[in-house]
Amino acid sequence: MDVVRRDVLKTVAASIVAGATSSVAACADEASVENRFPSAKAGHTAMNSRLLMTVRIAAAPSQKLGTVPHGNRTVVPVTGGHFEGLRLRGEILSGGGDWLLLRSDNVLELDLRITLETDDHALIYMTFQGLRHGPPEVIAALGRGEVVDRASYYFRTLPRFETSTESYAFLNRMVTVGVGEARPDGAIHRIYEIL
Amino acid sequence: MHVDVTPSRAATTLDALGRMLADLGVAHDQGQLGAGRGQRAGGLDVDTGDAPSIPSCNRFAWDGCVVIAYVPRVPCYSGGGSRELYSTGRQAAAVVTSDSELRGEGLSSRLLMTLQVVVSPPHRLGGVPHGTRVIAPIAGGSFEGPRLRGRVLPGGSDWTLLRSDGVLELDLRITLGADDGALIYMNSFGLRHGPPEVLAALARGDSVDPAQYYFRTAPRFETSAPTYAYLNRLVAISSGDRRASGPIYTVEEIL
Repeated sequence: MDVVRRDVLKTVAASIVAGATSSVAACADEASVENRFPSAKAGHTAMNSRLLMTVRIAAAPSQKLGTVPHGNRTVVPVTGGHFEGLRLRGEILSGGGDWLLLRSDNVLELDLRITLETDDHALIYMTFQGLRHGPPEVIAALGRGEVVDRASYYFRTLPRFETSTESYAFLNRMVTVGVGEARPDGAIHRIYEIL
Repeated sequence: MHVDVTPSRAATTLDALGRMLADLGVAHDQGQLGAGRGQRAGGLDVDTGDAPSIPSCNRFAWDGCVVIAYVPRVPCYSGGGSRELYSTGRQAAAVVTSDSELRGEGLSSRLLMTLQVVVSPPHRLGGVPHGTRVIAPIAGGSFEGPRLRGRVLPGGSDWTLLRSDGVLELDLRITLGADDGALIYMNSFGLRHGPPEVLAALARGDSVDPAQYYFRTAPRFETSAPTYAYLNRLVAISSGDRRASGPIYTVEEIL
């Protein structure tokens, strides 16, 4: 067991190194990207995007409110977490939450509101609405708190941001999409800026 | 292999990587450090070996993963077992993402439809508490995609708000009538901004290359028609091309 874990970490460490080069390239490209708005050309079906950040949310046990007029309501308090990207990183403050609604068509609607604090102490208000659904057996496994391959279900969000800090004002002006991964103790969201 | 590190964070990054690699027994030779001294401020020579893929691991659950940054503080989660994800006991931790994700390849999409709406003369409400409000009634239009096509019914509008930071927020609500009679309610929230001269040209009704400005929206759909129920379950993004008669949206389904 120990050996396996060590191998995994070793792989990760090696990958760190493999990835560092691309980080540099991405940073160098920063200025030019800011002034570039790729257009939607006829026949173009691949949205231009780049990773904005990875958000790891730590959640408290959920509050199950049961059946309400629009579906089945569950409130998940957010107690903390981290976010990390090339242009911003920091911690998630406690006090937010995700107001989940399981609709009658078995699609889970997400409605999150959290506050991010960057490592240079800027506050960013983040919200998203999203959808999660998948095969019944996969959703059941998630319900039991198991870790499931995130490719086996659909979990997408539309994050929006508000900040008064000039260095992060770019967040006020972008449309983003999140790819979510449900975890027993929270969720990981890879958030992409739509260019 | 040799790796260069971003100058501004070279010292801390290399230090963290070095300690992590040492702990893991990965052969490496730390290059010269010197944050801020030119583009190639630091580097690391590493024997990556033959890194196997990670089939399934709660800790870093996908293969080909790379660390793009590290968190310079010891994380302090208050919630359950999340501590394990990042804390390595070395005051250095990592958020892992794949190289392809960094380039945006983690997000795939496909064309849902091209939507053209025809706008009637707008109602200019002027300055309101959140900005400058202009309501543009939708007189009609059409949409066409691989799985749906039809007409935009009259009666919707786009409730636009020009914010104090010069960004135009769009808040569109329209009803789509598919060619088989199904009704689809669509609303979308979007943002439009760009260089002042480009926005001025748009305001004059000039034809402007949409690559000159940022115009992206996130449409959502509601329908009771089983044929189109997939619309209820998808997240979509669109690129807008503002024309004098009204915008043309290229709507893509996020896969």
